[in-house]
Amino acid sequence: MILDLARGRMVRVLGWLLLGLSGAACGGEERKEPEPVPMTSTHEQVGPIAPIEPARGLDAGRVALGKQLFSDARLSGDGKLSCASCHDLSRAGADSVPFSVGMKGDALGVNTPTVFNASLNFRQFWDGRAGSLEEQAEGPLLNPHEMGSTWLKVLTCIKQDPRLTAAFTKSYPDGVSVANVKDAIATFERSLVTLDAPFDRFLAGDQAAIDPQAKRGYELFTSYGCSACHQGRGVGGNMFQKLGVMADYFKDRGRDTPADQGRFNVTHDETDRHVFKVPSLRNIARTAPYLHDGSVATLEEAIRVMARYQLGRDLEPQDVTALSAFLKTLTGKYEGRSL
Amino acid sequence: MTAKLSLALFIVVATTLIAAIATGEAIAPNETEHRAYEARLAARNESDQSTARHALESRFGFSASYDELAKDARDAASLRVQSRVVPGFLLASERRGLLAALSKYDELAERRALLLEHFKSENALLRNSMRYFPSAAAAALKRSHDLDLTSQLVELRHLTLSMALEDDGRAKQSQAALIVVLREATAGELPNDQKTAVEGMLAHAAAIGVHKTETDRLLRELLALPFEPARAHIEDAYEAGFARAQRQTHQLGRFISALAVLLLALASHAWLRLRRAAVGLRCANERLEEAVAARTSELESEMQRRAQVEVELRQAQKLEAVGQLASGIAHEINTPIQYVGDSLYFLREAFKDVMHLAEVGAAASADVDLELLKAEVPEAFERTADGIKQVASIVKAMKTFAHNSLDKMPLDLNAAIHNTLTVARNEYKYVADVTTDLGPVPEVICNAGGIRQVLLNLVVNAAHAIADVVAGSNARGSIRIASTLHEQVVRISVADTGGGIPEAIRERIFEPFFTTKEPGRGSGQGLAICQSLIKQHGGKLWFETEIGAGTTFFVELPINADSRNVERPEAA
Repeated sequence: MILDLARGRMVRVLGWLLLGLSGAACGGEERKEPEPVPMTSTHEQVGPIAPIEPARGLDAGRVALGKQLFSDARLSGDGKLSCASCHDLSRAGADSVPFSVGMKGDALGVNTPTVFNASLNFRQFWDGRAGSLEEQAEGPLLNPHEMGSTWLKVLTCIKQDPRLTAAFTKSYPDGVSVANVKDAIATFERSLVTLDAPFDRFLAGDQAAIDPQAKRGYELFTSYGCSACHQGRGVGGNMFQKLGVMADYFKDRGRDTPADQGRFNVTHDETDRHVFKVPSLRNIARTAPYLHDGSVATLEEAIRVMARYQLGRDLEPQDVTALSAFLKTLTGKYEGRSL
Repeated sequence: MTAKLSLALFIVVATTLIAAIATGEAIAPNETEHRAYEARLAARNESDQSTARHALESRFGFSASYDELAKDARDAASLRVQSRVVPGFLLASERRGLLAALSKYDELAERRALLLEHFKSENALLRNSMRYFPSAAAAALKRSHDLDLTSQLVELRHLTLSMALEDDGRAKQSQAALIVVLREATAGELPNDQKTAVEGMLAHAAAIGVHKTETDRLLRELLALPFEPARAHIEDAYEAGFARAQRQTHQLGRFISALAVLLLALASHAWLRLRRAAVGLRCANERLEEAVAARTSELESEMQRRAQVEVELRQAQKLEAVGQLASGIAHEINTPIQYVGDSLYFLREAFKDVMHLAEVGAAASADVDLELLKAEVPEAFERTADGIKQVASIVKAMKTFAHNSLDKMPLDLNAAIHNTLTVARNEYKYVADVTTDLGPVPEVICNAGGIRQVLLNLVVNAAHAIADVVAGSNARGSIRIASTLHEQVVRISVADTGGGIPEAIRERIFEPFFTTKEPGRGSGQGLAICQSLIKQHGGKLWFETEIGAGTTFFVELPINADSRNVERPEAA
């Protein structure tokens, strides 16, 4: 230890000496201090959308375990609901209704977002109250209006199932625990990325991957400013934005529910009222109805609503068609099948 | 210095040294840990730089994606947690100081995260309106047929764009004022499509005004957050702790060196002592070896002597047994000797008559009963020969019995039993009838004298046991001797109808000098020696007994009492 330290010091002294010498020799070309990167050095502009890459480095055992838990209704309060009840993988990771119905039979406050590509979101939930998938997994599970369970019930249920318990013991050194249940579900969710969307192939250079109509739609998407918010790998999902920037969405729609307050419910900051996480537009053609309130049934109508309230303009019908054609090229594949 | 003092000193120094080293381990800054922590702080710094850079890139349109900023936020959150894992060598107070500095920094980071989120939203709106504003302005101008309005719209476009380029505050004020004027001016009389176009332009001009100001305000605050002093504070707090730990470690290192030298001196001293002691030990060892050799030879001769004594003891016991039998044997011999004597006396007288007859003739000697002589003389000869034979057989048995050889030889056990019965006859003939049931047994290689001695002891003991029971009555007991072959062993049983062996002494009957007999009838050596002899042959000697019914002794001998199975004679 002490020798270590002495050696470490000597090595450091030597290192500095060498560095100084070589620095002098090379005319101070090499410097340790990170220089601030000048703005002009970014000669390549970063485009708004990037392709989705496959999820790597996930433990296969944990993914499989998370998949089991994801569709295990025994974990819920009344044994009837699972995560998959609302996040149905065969319905593009959501459930096709404006509001899902929870354990108590009442409709929930916001539209169920898809679980596909949720790992790309910078935060989870419409109001971004969860910082991670692990944190998110707990929300609906324990919410009395949703799955209405308790951790005690979940752990008891798992421990009574020898197969599940064995799977936990195999995948985690400390076996069944709250953290490991969350980790397994989150790990499974990280595997739920949709790959090989036509638009991703187009980004990769395949000009034939999308038709001219969709290409025009993409040009409109960037020139109209949609991509100011819907950008990144998820085409959204990495920032917050107010709904109704250029016009009052809620006044026009009528009613103003607690769920409509969005991020305000989390921060209680007046500037966050009616602010929501910008949703990802990946697979958007498959996840109707739209908006946090599920009030818009078709993609075309959603485009018009967004243009009116967010961009402050009314679109020509052919523009809507082109944008819609573009958005349809964002539908990717899960396990080799298009959603 | 005495050995005890030196040892005590050695232990004290060694313990202190170990304690000092352990303390050193605890307080010494772990180089790996130190580097890792410095790397973490450096990574935080880099993450901060990266956040600022990405914010600027987003603001000025070099990047159209917030993915990098989102990643920066994730990294910052994770580094924030990591930086709270402070190295173990820091003292509690240093740790507190460092954590306090980290908390200050974390407050800034939290503030930045909040600013960043709002910046992203505002910047998106600004960029959206900036992108659309030129076309919105063009659309409005295209539809404007009023010169006044047109010039105002051109003025608004100019003000808005120049404000977007460099906001000196005045441009914004004029722009906001112009928007108000234009809104009022276009409130009523314009045609519908012109009104929509102008309203669109005004909305986006207003949006640029609001979001430009807000975006820049947020970005300015974000870039002006005093991270540098906070970072310096953290580094000072950490470096102070590290330097302190290093200094103390060096001091401790010197102390450890001193202790080590002392320990070395003590060890050398001890080594010298040890070497001296080793020489002494070698001498002592040599002496000890001599003593051991002497003692060993003493022991060996003692063992030889004991073996000799045992042989002598056994012989003595045999002689004792024979001696005890002596009066009986004398009686046994006396009877045939008497009638040999009588017969000889008769034959002497008869011989006189015969001689007389030979001298004077048969007719002349009327007092000689020739007929009687003819009948009696042959009988007398027979009796004499018989008596002599009987005496000879007893003497032979005695001789056989007294034979004193330890050599092994083949022995016919059935013959030995007969022999024994002959010698011991006087012991049992008044009290018991003897029956034998001797099976076909092979000759056994053994110490014949020893085995005969065993048989004699068993027969005599049986006779004595019966005698004790029938004493003073006319009743007779019986002794039954049997020999059988069981695979590789010959078993001989000697059963009597005596009183049996009381439970209390069953354990003790094979002990040397244990006897129930009155003095003169036995020394108590018999069964002990029997046991020893049979064991020497790898055999067994045991008994079954029942009070009031009698006792049966069993002897088992392997057919070939080879040395492999033979226990060595016991020293005692």
